[in-house]
Order: sequence, then structure tokens, then C-alpha cells
Amino acid sequence: MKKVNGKYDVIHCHDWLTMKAGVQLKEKLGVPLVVSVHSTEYDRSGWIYPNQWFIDIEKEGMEKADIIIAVSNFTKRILVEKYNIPEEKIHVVHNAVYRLGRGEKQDIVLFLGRLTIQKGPEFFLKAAKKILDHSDIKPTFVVAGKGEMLSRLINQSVDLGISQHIMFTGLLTEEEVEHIYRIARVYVMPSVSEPFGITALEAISAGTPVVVSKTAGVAEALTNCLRVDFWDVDEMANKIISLLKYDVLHSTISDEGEKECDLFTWDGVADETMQVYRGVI
Amino acid sequence: MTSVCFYFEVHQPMRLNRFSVFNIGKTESPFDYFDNQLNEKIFHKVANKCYLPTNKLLLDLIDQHDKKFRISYSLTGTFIEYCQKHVPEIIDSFKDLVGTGAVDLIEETYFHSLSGLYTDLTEFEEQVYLHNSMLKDLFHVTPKVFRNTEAIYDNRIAKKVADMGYKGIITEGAKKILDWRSPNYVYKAVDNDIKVLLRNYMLSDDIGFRFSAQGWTGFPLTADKYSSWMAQNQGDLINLFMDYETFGEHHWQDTGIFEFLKHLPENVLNHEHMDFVTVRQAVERYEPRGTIDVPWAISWADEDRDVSTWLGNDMQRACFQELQDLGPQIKKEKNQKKLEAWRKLQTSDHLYYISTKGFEDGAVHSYFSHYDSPYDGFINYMNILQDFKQGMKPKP
Repeated sequence: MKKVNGKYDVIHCHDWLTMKAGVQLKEKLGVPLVVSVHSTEYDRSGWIYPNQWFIDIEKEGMEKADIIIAVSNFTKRILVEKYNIPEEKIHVVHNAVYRLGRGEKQDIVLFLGRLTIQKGPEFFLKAAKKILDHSDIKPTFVVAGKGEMLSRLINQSVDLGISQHIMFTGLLTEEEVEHIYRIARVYVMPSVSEPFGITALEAISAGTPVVVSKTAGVAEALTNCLRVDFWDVDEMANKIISLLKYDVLHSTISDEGEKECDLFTWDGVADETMQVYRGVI
Repeated sequence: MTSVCFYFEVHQPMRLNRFSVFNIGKTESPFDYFDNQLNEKIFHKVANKCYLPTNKLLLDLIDQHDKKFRISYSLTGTFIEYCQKHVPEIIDSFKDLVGTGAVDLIEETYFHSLSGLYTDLTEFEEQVYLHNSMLKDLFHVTPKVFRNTEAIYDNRIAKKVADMGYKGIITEGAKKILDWRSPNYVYKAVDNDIKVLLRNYMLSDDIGFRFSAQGWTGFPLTADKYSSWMAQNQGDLINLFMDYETFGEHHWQDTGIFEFLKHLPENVLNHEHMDFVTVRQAVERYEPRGTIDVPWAISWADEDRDVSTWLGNDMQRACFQELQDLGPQIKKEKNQKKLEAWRKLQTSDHLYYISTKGFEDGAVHSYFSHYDSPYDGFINYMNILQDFKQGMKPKP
């Protein structure tokens, strides 16, 4: 701390890891503090036993901040309701995407993300079971990513009797991720609590329609998607099958969604962030 | 003389139940497709906010003005069925209105369908006859003027309607068909002598869309102001066509819409050169001043004033095609229940919910839709059509 020199207009920090440092710098330098919230402890824990230690750090950072940037209205509500932050202090700036472009679609239904409670991979497997039981369509369900739930998920797919249709890829490289987005026919994001969910934008930017949880920020921002409750695996299966079965549905969401991606640019995010800075300096 | 021809579309669709792909092939009765609970709830709400109070007000106004205040209605078959089932006093009040002699009824397809756009117009004709006999039975009225679903019109429909014996047909006074010409005259169709009444969309939308828009230069709209606007219009006839739900439902009571309506007749009649006519009187009194040629269908919907509201994307066109293709098979089966369900599925609203049109119109669409998105609307409707196609096999 002693080594901080120079003149700064604003301190901007992101999530709990950096908040204590941000608060101390603000106090030392007397400069406004902007805090971006990309996720809260409630999201990361899937609302099951959130750790009070993290919550306290987050709360302190948010209280000391002059203004807060939340990645969605969904997150803004959590900050208001769980952290008691005044609404007018929170500015929503949605995330953006670099467009990927389409590939040759294959019969793949994709889950991609950390294999944790928050991301809801077990609901993906339950929906897969419904689809495989009730329809003649037998796609491959790809679970891409790693995480603490991996072995449990493998066991679950064996117990459900669908393991031959499920492919666990482990962690993919950036190139592999882009490739799988491009060739998947449907992307599913069944998150229990997702502040934004850039993966959904990445998928649709590759022409892959997305079925997203209503408890995800992207669900409020993206018009051309199918929304479901993460626990409603019947409806999730209904929507996935419909995308596989009705070509016109797939092509319309895919075309309209790809167009809509133009609205989500990082330049736009930068502009909005600058606006927020101007409001405090 | 400039006549004001006030006409209201009165319609409620039969909204569909949630129907997933897992339900396909398991339906016991085709009437299970319809969400009776939701439909009843909405109907009661609109009846109390709009139908009952507006009917009463208009009846009073006709009496007060010694029947010089005249209006016309187009009541869809599905609307009438709702009344019969849930709020029969609405039918009684329409009977009272018709009984004044100052109210005329307009013909249309019973199911408010897009059958006028089918390749084969037999189904269209049958639905018009159904509507015709419904009006005859209930109100003892035989309309002379026809208004197709959402004012959808093209040369082929006009020809068909003329052949069926109607003297007039209503459509939108769209710029693209009128060009420099005014909607405030009667026109005729291109291949025959049916008279065409054209909606004055500026004045109609002042009430229908803009009445409660606070950012609009005309706000607040008073009956006095509005009547003076009409009085400045040149021409024989000002056609004001709008959803009946404009009164009390699209614009709530607290916007002052009923007060506006209450004072409208006296303010119009204060202008000596103005009066009110029903659609029947309009076609009897005025001669055509020109011809309108409409090779591609127009309507009163959205900014485009065409049929893209119902058939603008591939999902809508796929459903429309499925629906149309089911026809010959259902008619062969001679199963009354199936035929009726198929017809209720033809109500244009089901396709309207699937529209993905741009932001401005999209906002209007989502206001009227009970689906989360047009995609949900498509999945639900298409699943039902697939089930219908499978022939309603009994549960295994």
C-alpha cells in the first residue's frame, strides 16, 4: 500500500477477491470506488449453504463503493434484496460477445461450463434421459468442462441408463470450445443462478440456439432464446426436442439470434462503463 | 355532408393449453387443446372492463341522440360462444343495441381465421356462412357488408365476397394502395362492383393507439378536439375502425376513454355538415370515386399493413401450411368435433403469437400474447397440430 503513487481518477475492482484492496485504496487515496459484480456468493453456492465469510467481504465492498456495476438486472435484484444495497447505486451493464460464426451442425446437445451445483449439470442429464426415453431422436449429449461434480455426474448417467449417449469431454482448449459451439445443434444452460452467462451468447453467435435458465442474466438480455426454469426438466426436454425436430424453429432462432448478437459488443460495454466513471468523478 | 362510420371489431381467441412434445398422441378430446380456465378468466375481465360498460354507454348514447348516433359491429363466432358460455347478458345487450335500429352488424369468418388466404376458398366460404347463420339466429340480421379477419384484403378475396352477394367490404386505407388518394371516399374493387370502405388509420389510431400516450402532441384528446379534426377532413365518409377493447381494456377507464366516448356524438353532431352512418348506410348512400387494385394482401395490422404479422416468418408459414393441409382429411372424416376443433385452431391469433417482428410492433405483440416468446408460441401450437395430425389416438 505504501508504494501506491500517482494520480488516479477512479478505482475499479471486480468481485470479492479484489474488494478489500479496492476499499483500502479508496480510503488511502480518496478516489471514488467502482465495483463490478460478476457473481455473488449466492450464485456460486447455488443458494445452498452460502459462506458468510465471502458475503461479508462482498457486502463491505458494495457498501463502500460509490457505484456498482452489475452484469444483469437479475444480479441487481440480488444485491438489493440480499445485500441491502440501494437500487439507485447499481448500474446494469450486460456482457457482450465476439462472434464465432457457424459450423456444420451435428446431432449434439451441448452443456458447457464448470461442473458445479451453480451450473446445474444434473438437470441437463435428467432432461437427456427424458429425451432419450420419449423420442426417436437420439442425439449425443456432450458435457464439456471439469469440476467437483464430474464423478457424481458420470455415476448419474450410468444410473439413468443413458451413459452410451453422454460424452464427458473434460476441460476443452479454447479452440475446442469454439469448435463445439459451432457444431452443436442445441446449447443448454440450466444454471441454478447465473449472473449473466456469456456462454449462451457465444453459442448463439455460432448459430446454435440456446435453452437457458430463467435464473440467468442472459435470459433477460437475449430475446432470441428459449427460457426454462432450471428444475423443470420436462419443459427443458420439450424445448430441446422441439429444436431438434422442427427445422423452422431452429433456423429462425439461429438466424434471428445471430443478428441479435450485433447488439452485444464489448465496445458498447466500454462506453457504458465510461459513462459510469463519469458519474462518479 | 361528411359521414362518420364507426365500427368495432369484437373478438376473443380460444387460447391454447400448454402442450409439450410428450403430449403428442395422447389427447382424448380435441377440445382439451384449449385453456378453458385462462380463457374464462380473461373473458370475465374484459367483459367487466369493456363489453358490459361500453355496450351500456353506447345504448344510452343512441337513445340520447335519438338514433342519430350510429355504429356497427363485427362480432366473431368465438366471441359469441364465450358470451353464451360465460356472460350471456352481453348477448342481450347486443340484442338491445341492434334493436335500436341504429346498429348494424358486419359479416366475417366465424372463427376470425386466415381462410381467405387458403389456396382453396371453400373453407372460407363455409366459415362465412356459419357466421351468417349465427347472426341470423341470434340477432335476425343479414349483413350487407363484409370485413375479413383483421381487414385482410386482396383482389381475390374481394371477388369471392362479391360473388357471395355482399355489397361492401372493409379494409385498411393503406398508403400503398391509395397513394395520393383519400380514404374518405367509397371505392370499388378492381374486377367487380363491390364497394370498398377504407379505414382512416390516422384518425382511427388517434383513438385506438394514441389516446393515452402522454408524449403525443394531441394529448390529452378531448371529444371536442377530435370532432374538430374530423370536421376539417374532406370527403364523403370517415371510417373509424378499431378493436372494441380500446374502450376500458387497451385504454383503462382512468385514462378518460369513456368520458371521451360519451361526449363524442354531441360534438360530432354539433358540426352541421357531419352525421353518423352504419356500414350498410355508407354503401347505400355513397358512390365509388375510384378503383382500388390490391394484388397482394393488405391488412390493418402493424406498420407494414400486410399479412406479415401472421405469415412473416418460416415458423408461421409452416404452421399455416400444416393447418391448411389438415383440411381435406378432416372434412372426409365427417367428425363434427374434430372439424370444430380444427376451425378453432384456425383463429388468426395463434399465428399472431408466433410473430418475431421488429421491436416497435413486437412490443404490441407481446402485450397481447400469453407466451414467454414467439418461439414458445410456435412450439405449443406446432405440437398441437402434430397431435391433431396423428388423429387423436386414444391413450394406450
